[in-house]
Amino acid sequence: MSKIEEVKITGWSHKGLRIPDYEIDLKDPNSKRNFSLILQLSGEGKTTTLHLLRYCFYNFLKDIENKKERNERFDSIKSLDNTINKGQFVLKLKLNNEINYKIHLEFDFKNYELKYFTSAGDGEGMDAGLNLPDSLKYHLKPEFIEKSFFDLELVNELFDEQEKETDKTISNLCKIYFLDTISKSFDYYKEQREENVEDPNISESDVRGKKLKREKIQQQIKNIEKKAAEMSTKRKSLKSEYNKLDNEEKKIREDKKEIDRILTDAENNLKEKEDELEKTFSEAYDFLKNPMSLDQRLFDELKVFEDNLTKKSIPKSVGEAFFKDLVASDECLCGEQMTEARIKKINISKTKYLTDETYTVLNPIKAVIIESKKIPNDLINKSFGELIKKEANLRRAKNKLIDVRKNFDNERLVEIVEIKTEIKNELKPLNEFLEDTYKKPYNKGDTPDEESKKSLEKQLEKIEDEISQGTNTVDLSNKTKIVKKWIREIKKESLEEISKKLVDDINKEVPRVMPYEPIYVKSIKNKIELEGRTGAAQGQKARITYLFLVTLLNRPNLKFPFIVDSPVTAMDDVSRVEIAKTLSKDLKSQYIGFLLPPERPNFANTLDEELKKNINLIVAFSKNKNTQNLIDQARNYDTVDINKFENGVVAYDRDFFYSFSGTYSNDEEGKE
Amino acid sequence: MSVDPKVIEVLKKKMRAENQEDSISKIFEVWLDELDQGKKDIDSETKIKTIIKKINVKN
Repeated sequence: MSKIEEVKITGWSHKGLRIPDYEIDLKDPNSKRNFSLILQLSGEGKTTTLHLLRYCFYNFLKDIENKKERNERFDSIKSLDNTINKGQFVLKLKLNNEINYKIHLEFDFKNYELKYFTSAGDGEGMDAGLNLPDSLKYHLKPEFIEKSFFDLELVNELFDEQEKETDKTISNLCKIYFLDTISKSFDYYKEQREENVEDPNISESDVRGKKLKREKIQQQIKNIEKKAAEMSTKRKSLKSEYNKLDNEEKKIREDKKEIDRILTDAENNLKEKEDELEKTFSEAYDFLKNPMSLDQRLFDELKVFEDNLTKKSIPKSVGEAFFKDLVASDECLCGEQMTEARIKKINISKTKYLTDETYTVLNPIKAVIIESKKIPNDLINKSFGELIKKEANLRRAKNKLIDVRKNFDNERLVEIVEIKTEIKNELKPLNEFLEDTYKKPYNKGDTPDEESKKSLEKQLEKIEDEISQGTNTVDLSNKTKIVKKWIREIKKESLEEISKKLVDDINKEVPRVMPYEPIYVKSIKNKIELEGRTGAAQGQKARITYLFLVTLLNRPNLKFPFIVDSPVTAMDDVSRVEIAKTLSKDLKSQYIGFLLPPERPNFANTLDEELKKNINLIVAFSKNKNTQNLIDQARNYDTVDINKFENGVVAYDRDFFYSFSGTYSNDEEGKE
Repeated sequence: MSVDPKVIEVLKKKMRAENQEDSISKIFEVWLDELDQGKKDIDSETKIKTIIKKINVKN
């Protein structure tokens, strides 16, 4: 097959996996469409799909010897339906815009087995194994795939000096590591020549002894390199977990501040609603205290009552004591003598006069009736309506306060701190080995059992000198040393020059991508180092990482898909616009972005505009009771076939893509 | 897919700086290209022999 210059993903399908059983078709009219955005909700399998796409290019199980870890990887892909034990993922590729390829991954979840099948061309036949063209297979190492299909975890690694991820990435993508293959070939050639020497300077047993020692050192180098690689992977994974927890902790703490604020707001709101209710109640109570104002008939009757009282000059208050004193006196008020008949008459007539008690009651009533004015009914109704409203407001304010209090999950914070401590303890021996033991300098008394690479390399150099002297191959050995020295220097200089060019190219884009706070890259040796500052916000780091990867991925002559999970999360609006412009303008290869709905504004529409709509805008979601409202949304679009797949929907409608409202029916998004 | 052109550029520059024949650069270049293509039957031995023979160790 001719040289592979372009690889494009034309689609994929899955069945029996953690993600719904549907098929994604990346349309490529006239082989000129490079961009696809797939809109999915959180928890709908974006990350799982990204992993599966990676696994199509290398057998991930080869590097996992630990059974528990293997099983965990399987379980993370397996369908949640326990009756399903088999799953399938099929990736469709187009090489050089000509040849179709299919890669089948057949998962046996019961026995934790994975089988690969490949088919080339448009026929139905499949060959067992992952059989990509040699020129492609050789390059598609996990390191390359992980950079090309990346999630934002890579951001932290690229900014971490310990991992030296920038150098590794450049070396991988620019194929600088091929020089190591050449260097090793020289070693191998020299060893072969030593085998064929007929007149050694030392005895055969001495030569054999030295060669055995060399083999032992070489084997030990392989062992410790493997150990270092495993520990490095473990360390990266732990650091990644630590970073996630750290971010969660920060968020909880930040949220706590926010919750403090929300809590205070909720409490103030409650107090405000209580005051409002009290005031409204007081107004309503004023009406209650004046029943005349509540009812026209009562008002009228009392007015008549008061009127009658007035007409009869009532009330007139003459107390009981007055009549007692009067009948006991010798003469009446009229001056006549007080007689028995008169006393009798007074006692009868006194009942016509009100008692003090009646007077004290009746007089204020009369006064109130006089002062009373009829209040319009709508005013009364409004007041009582307000009372009901304010009571409801108070109830809501109380519920809000309860919710806010519930949301502060202090237990999780304690748990995070504990797990972080455990991770720190796990990191200690890894750091000790990788930073101390592995890098320890050579000491005279060192043996081939050392775990220091520097020491073992020095020991190897010494024993090789001894062998070359003993086997009369000094000239070859010296020339081999010269070549290996050149290769080391070429590697170093290539890396430096590529890095320098990358830094220049990245910095040219910075003012556009970060117009308000431009952050320039000082160096990318070992890690991304920023000009004049020690750190940056995660969103800023993500933008720099984008520039780094886009610039780097454009260097090799192979156009290979660039796939990004949550491509513009934690980025502000301006950055989203500018990243979209950078991608559309500068990226030469295919781009597939797994987008969350909140990432859509400013990013998707900018890409769409810049690419003059030459982009696949896809929405994918699962069909279940929680997504009923999404299904209902989809029903409104004629081009969306909601029945095509049993438990998922894939829509290619541009309008649906932009209108898709990402909420679950129960308003709770799942977690991946 | 190719080795980054900068690697080839540095390789050529290095060989010239070491006063080595351009043909040595060419052998390395071809070798890198063959590795790049995933060629399985690369004749490393002949390449190494030629390089070893052509190396100018006086400098």
